[in-house]
Amino acid sequence: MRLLVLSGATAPFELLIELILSEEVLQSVYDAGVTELRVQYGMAEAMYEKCRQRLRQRLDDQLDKDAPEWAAVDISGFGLTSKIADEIQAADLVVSHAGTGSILDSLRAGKRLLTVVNPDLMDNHQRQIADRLAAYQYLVSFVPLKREDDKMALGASIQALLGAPIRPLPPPQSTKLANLIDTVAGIV
Amino acid sequence: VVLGSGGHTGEIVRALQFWNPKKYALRTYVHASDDHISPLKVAEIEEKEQTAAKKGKEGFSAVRVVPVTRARSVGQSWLTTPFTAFKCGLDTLKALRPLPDVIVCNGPGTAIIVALTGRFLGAVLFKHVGIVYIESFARVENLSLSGRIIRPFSDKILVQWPQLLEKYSGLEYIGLLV
Repeated sequence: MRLLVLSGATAPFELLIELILSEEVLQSVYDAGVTELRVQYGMAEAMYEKCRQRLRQRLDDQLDKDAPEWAAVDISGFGLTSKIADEIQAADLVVSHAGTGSILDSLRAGKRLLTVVNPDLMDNHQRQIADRLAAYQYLVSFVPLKREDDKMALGASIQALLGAPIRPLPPPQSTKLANLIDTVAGIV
Repeated sequence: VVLGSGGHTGEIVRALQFWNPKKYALRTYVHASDDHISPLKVAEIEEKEQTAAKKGKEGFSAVRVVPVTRARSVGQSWLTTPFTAFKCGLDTLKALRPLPDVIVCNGPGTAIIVALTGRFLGAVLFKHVGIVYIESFARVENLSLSGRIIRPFSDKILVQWPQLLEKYSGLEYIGLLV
């Protein structure tokens, strides 16, 4: 099973990368049955590389013991792509920052989505939309509190995502809108 | 159609999924001059399977993609904004010839300046320039500043969450648009 992480294309969301690429969360990811983890790190390449390096170091330090289970998760990453729709299509689960575009891309592709709200963002309409959509059960929302237990909480949220009672987003009223525009323009 | 950039352009492209551009003799797509991605999205709006099937007035069909000065960049000081907004308005006067029957836009400041300029120019020339404003999917609790500014001038202000209807007058809700 493939998990796609969308940290956003414009603003770096280093906290999300750090949490996802931690041993605790990777273990939860492994336990959930994920075999491939694909990370869009966007502008946070430095953090991504730092975390990968830390993980490699952990494995090297433990060469005398059996490899930890999470090491079996195949991790790959990319910065930006013009084919984000393809990446989303190829995923089974998506964990994304709470940007409107990423949320819509994932939900409209019919994917189970966990949104992670960035606690450092000044305006939190991201928080508003994530809360509202979670309340309607269109997705699961996680808000890091910037505490040690974030990792455990994120891991738990990812596992919850698998079994959560998620409902599909209602279809867009594209035809009604088209008719409305035509009416305003005076086209019958 | 004003393509404001980033997520705003994304929402407009989604919202216009079933809109048939070919019913219009001329489609003008306005974007901020420093936005190089939105012009690429015009093809997504113009070349859709649905519209290929539904032919409109093919004989007159024309598409223009026009850049205007961005009215206000993210984080730009409100002190300098009147100058860039004014420049945007001037660019718009040149861009909207002939005057459109309807302007479709959403949140960014540039879109609001374009829409208002079109509306006022229309008033001066005794032509009704309709405005359809689409509030963002992310606006669940309150209208954006753009929505509030354009409200007295829009023919239609569409919100995507019904709770907004209770907070403001003059809004319309037909469901999700993206």
